[in-house]
Amino acid sequence: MYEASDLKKGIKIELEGEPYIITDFEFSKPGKGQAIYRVRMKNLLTGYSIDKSYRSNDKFQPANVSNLKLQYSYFDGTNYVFMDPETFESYNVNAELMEDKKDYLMENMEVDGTLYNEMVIDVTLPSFVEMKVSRSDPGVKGDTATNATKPATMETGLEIKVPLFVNEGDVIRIDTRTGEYLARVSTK
Amino acid sequence: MRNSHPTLARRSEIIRAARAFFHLEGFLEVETPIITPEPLPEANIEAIKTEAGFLITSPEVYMKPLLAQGAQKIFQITKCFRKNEHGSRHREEFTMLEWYRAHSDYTQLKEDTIKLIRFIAEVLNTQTIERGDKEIDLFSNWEDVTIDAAYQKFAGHPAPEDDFQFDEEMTRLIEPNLGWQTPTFLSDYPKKYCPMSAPCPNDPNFCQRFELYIGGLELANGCTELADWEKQRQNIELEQQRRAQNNMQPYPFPNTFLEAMKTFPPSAGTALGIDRLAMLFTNSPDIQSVLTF
Repeated sequence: MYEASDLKKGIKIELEGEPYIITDFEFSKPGKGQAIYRVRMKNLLTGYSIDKSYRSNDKFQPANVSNLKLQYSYFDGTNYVFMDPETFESYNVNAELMEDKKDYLMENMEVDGTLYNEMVIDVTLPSFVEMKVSRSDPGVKGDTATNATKPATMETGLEIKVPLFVNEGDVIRIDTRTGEYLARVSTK
Repeated sequence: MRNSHPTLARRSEIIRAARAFFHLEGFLEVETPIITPEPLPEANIEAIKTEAGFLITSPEVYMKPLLAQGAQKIFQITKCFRKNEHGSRHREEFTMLEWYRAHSDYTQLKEDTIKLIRFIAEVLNTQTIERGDKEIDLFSNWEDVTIDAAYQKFAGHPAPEDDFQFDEEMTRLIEPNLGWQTPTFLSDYPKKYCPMSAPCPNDPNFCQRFELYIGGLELANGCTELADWEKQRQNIELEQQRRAQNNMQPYPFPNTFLEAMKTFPPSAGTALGIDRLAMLFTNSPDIQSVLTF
């Protein structure tokens, strides 16, 4: 159990059955009045932030949240299935949670998972991934303007802009946080 | 420590100016004990207990008995200690300026406060206090609002009855909005929040107590002191009970203090946070910047 005075940035607590992480914390005390602990926290399931005020004898249950390494296995039609490479235990992650990330997933890719009550509630991709270009039309000859790009489709179905010199079959490095092409790693 | 440290140099000037002001005004500077066997009970302030006794949470426990012994105008700059108070404007150990006038009331204290802050500003060669990107004028007429008017204006209703709601709204809706044009006095607190203050003559449900705010920062607390000895005793007992309800550590009953207070004259006293004053005159958002360590 935490008391209000134990709270600080980064602590995870359980509130009305949902996990929150404290993102901002302020102690205030009006003249001769009681201590007020003002807390901003983010719901780890929805991502929404809320502000609350507590008194010093308020108590909080720590949220049962932990981090672990996971390895991507496959998509079973409903869920993305990951495996803990140490225990071989598998975790189903619902498709909604992976909506923005699914096109970066490749078999055996290692990701950081956040567990809440034995359920994966968040997946953080590696910042950089390397993938093969499966389809991209050749760059138009003569079009040499700097920063000229063309669309390309990766082996996972991900679509990004690549420089004109990138060809089908090349392996490129992509920043998963911005979805941008970074470099060509090897060529066919 | 380098002498060229600008914040500490300014803090030193502020303290020197404050001392000079009170000497010029004919106040006697006093030193009273830091350790007391019998702290005055307050429902929301916890003293730090040592092997030798309790560290004072305010020098009130010794300065008021000096008035009872005949002192007329006294001031002190001393360290005070309040357990578990730590934040961007709080430290468990902090520096307090406290002054008392016998045969006086809180109106006179407000005048003292205005003159003191303006005197310090003149010594520092400034007309204003900068707070963030705002500038607060110290030399036009200072605002003075009652508690009820402040809740009405900033919370949309009169001061709430519930203690938590009162304090929560005070810190969230009221305090941050006070003292941005000129410094602002917040005056006449409900009786239950000032057990050692005298009642307002026109309405005994409120007390002659004020807080001073500059740029949203609470700087000083002053009041006409409760002179009625029997009421003081009752209110001290009441605070002891509220402490017990709040699961705070028990204190010995302050018999020595109460005995001394039998000859206490009608008086008034103010406590002003020196660290906060230094924050204001150095535009520091965090108290740590005005401390040495």
